[in-house]
Amino acid sequence: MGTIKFYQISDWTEITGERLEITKSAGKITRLHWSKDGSIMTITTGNGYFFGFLTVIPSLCASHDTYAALLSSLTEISVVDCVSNNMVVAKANLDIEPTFLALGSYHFAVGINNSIWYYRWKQPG
Amino acid sequence: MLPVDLVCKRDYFGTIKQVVMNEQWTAILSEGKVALHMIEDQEGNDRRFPQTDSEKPIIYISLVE
Repeated sequence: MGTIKFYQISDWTEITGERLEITKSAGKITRLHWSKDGSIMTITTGNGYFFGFLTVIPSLCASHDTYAALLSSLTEISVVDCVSNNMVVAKANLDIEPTFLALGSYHFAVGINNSIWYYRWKQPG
Repeated sequence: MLPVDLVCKRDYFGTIKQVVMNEQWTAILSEGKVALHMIEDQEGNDRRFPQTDSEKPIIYISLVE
């Protein structure tokens, strides 16, 4: 029902990889708006839905031994095992959107400003 | 998938510049000063560096296993 297409102004071709299909249950797209800095796009639909899309995703990662930790969603950290095909071995939902991340043998630390939250993702032994 | 638990939540003295961790300890660099404590210690019995006021501010930290 609703599709959003992105075109590059340099040659007016569609960036097909960025196309967004809006779920049928939402109905027709009625309005679309961009934030001034181009980081957020919002739409409203005929069935009363509101969608917000981020074009800039914060990137945060840390590594330790054979593991890597990364920000997999705005308030979620995933720890992956790099020797096991990057399998996600732990996932945690956070109270905040962190600006820094550190990874240790059994813990990871996330924080913002002057606060740090320490999580244990692996049991010693 | 392993279960993840919050083991400690702490507020420090200023904007955090750097965090380093090993198996048991964590050190935090903030405003030229360092706080060192056990990761799972919620109390606040931190070792502080520099140990005297006259020493120069700390700009980088690292921790061995």
